[in-house]
Formats: sequence, structure tokens, C-alpha cells
Amino acid sequence: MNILEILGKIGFDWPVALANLVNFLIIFVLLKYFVFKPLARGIEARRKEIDEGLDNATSARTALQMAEQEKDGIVMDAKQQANIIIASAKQRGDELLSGTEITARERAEALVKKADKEIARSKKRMESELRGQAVQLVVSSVESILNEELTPRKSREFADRALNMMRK
Amino acid sequence: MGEFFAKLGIIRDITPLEPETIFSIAGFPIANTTITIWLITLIFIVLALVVAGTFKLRPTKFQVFIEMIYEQVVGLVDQITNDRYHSKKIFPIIGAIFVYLVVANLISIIPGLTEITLNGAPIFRSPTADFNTTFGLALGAVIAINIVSIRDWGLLGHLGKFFRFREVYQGFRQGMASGFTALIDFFVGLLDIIGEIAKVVSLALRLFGNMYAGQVLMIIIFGALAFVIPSIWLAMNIFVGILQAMVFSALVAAYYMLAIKPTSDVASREDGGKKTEVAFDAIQEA
Repeated sequence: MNILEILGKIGFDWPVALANLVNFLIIFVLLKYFVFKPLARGIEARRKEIDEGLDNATSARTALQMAEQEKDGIVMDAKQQANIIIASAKQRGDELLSGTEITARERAEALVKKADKEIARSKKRMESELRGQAVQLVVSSVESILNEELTPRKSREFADRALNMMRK
Repeated sequence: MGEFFAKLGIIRDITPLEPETIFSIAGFPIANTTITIWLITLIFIVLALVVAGTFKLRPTKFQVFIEMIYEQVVGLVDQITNDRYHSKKIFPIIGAIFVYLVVANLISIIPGLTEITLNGAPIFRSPTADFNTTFGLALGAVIAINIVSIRDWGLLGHLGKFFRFREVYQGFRQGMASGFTALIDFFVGLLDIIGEIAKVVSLALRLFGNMYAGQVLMIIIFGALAFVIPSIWLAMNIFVGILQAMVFSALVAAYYMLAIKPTSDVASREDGGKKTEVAFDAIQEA
């Protein structure tokens, strides 16, 4: 009994076996090109998309961190600059204030000096006027007492005498 | 009491070993297993249309299920080859064998399908319960592996695996002891030719035996008690069907890895070879 006879007992038939093999090959081609390839392509595309998404998320997170750091830096710089500006403004304000005070004081002092001078001048003028009037009064009084007009020399003598008495 | 139990069983004829011829085309017999393969082809055409036409980046539940199977088979091939390059290379054939066998093994479980008859013969029968299908598949796989081996080793290199004349010559040049060892290796090489045939027969008979025995046992259980118990055996059949598909495809992948040239430039490749042998032994044990 050869092997084909033995296999024949379990229903082996070459043409049917080959036909079934060919049928399987058709299924293989069908699965390979129309199931496995689209699946592999789709899964790969999804994997790429997920990877890209993760990369984007990572880069976005990094960008956010950098932006936050930048923001913190800018805020810090702004604070420092603000402090510098405030300090310089305060200094300038102080300087201006003290400058103004000095100027005002100087002006006031100048005004006071000017006023003093003016007062002194007025006082002098008033004294001389007063003296003149007093002399005139003395001369007039003497003329009325004596009932005669005094000569300029006599007038001067009486005036001098009156002034000396007033000084005493 | 005996009559009561007899009524609980459904007596059927044991499925014959050979498939029933339903009709002929130009003298070529068309068996019921061939018709079932056509039905499976039709199922895969629909599947191909659905997958190619409705694939979305945000998957539906059905797509998730299909992708899950795909990933499982890719994982299985990866485990055996331990090499991404070869996994990609052989995945289409291993994946096709696995998916085809799962459907072929489980199609007869569809209620009522095997009850459709023409001239008293069922039109549909599990293709793997027919030795012709399993033999054809095993033969095709082993031929494909030998073609891959020829492409990898060259024709002379491939034949040199079986006819080790050069080793005998080199052995005797080194000394008598080495020569006799090489002579033993020469006969081992000749036995490898039988090994190639044995691969076909073992692959074919393992699958056929398991699936046919499952059907026969189902008929016997139905005859004894048609209620409750068959459902347990049915669940077992689903498990066995998937397991056998896995064993067949894993063995083909392991044969492929043993057939190709082991590259010595990459250490991991050598390690991969060892792992393939371990995986091969584990599958054989299973």
C-alpha cells in the first residue's frame, strides 16, 4: 500500500487539495492587499498623528514654559525699571524741592534786603524831609516872633541851632 | 428510563472522512469543503470592503475589534521571529493563514449552516475537517518556505542543507574521526528531506485530526445528550479552533525562521534564532 492509498483512505484527492490551496491563495491575496495593507497604513497614520500630537503638546508645553519664564523676566525687568524710575523721580523731586526752597529762600532774602534798603532809604528821605520842615518851621517861627524876614545866613544859623537842639 | 434518555439524544450519521462531492464543473468535483471556502472568500471580500472603505482614525467598535486581532497576530509573529524585519516580511502570509484557519475552524459552529443539504449531503462543511484543505495549505506553506530558503541561501546552499558532500570531504581531510562524524551528518541531511515531507504531513494531520475529531465528538455527544453538554463542547471547540489556527501559523513562522540564513553580524539576530528554537519547541509541546 503506497502513501497515496493511505492518504486516500482519509479522503485525500490531489485535485481537491490543489483547488483548496488555490482558493486559499486567493484569500491570501485578498487579505494582504485589501485588509492588512489598509489596516497597517491606517494604524501607521494614526500612530504618526498621535506622535505628532504628543510632539506638539510637548513643544506647546515647552513654549508655554518659555513664555511664562519670559513673562516673569519681563515683569521682573518692569519692576526693576519701575523701581529705578520711582527712585530717580523721588530723587529728582527731592532735588527740585530743595532747589525750589533754596531759590525761594534766596528770593525772600533778596526781597527782605531790598525792602530793608527801601525802608532805610525812605527813612532817610523822611528824616531829611522832616528836618527840612522842622528848619522851615523854626525859621518861620523866628520870623514871626521877630517880625522881620531873616537873611539866608541867619536862617541857616537858626536852623543849625534848632537841629542841634533836636539832636540833643 | 432508557427510552427517556434515548429521546434526549439526537442520532446523526458520523461525518465521513472524505468530503462529499456536491456537483462537478467540467468533470472537476466540487466538494462541500470547497463551497465553504468560497463562502469564506465571500466573507473576506465583505471584510476587505468594510476595512478598506470605512477605516477611520477614530475607530468604531468593529474597527477596534479588527485592529485588536491584527495587533494580536502581529504580536504572535513578533514573538516567534523576535526580529521586526522578518516579522514584517512574513506577516501577510502568517496573518492570512491564521485568520483563514480561525474562520475555517469556527464556521461549522454557525447554527444551521451544516444542516443545509443537497441530495442528502451537507453543502457546507468545515474546510479544516477535510484533509485536502489542510494538506494543500501545509504543502503550500512548506513549498513557500523552501522558496524563501533558496532565495536566502541560493540553490546550491539550499541543496547543501540536505546533501552535505562538502562537509564529508572536509571532514575526511581533517581526519577519520571527523570524517565519520561528517558522514553521520550526511545521513542526517538526507533525513531532513524526509523531515520536509514530514512537516507537510504533520501540519496537515494535526489540524485535520483535531478539527475532524471535534466534529465527530460533537455528533457523539449529541447522540448521547442533545442538551446542555454540547454547549460546553461547543465552547471548547471555539477554543480549540483558535488554538489550532495559532499553532499552525506559529509553526509555519518557526519553520520560516529555521529556513532562513542566520546572520552572524547582529548579535541579537543570533539570540533571535535561539528564541525561535525555544518558541518552536514550546509550540510543538502545545
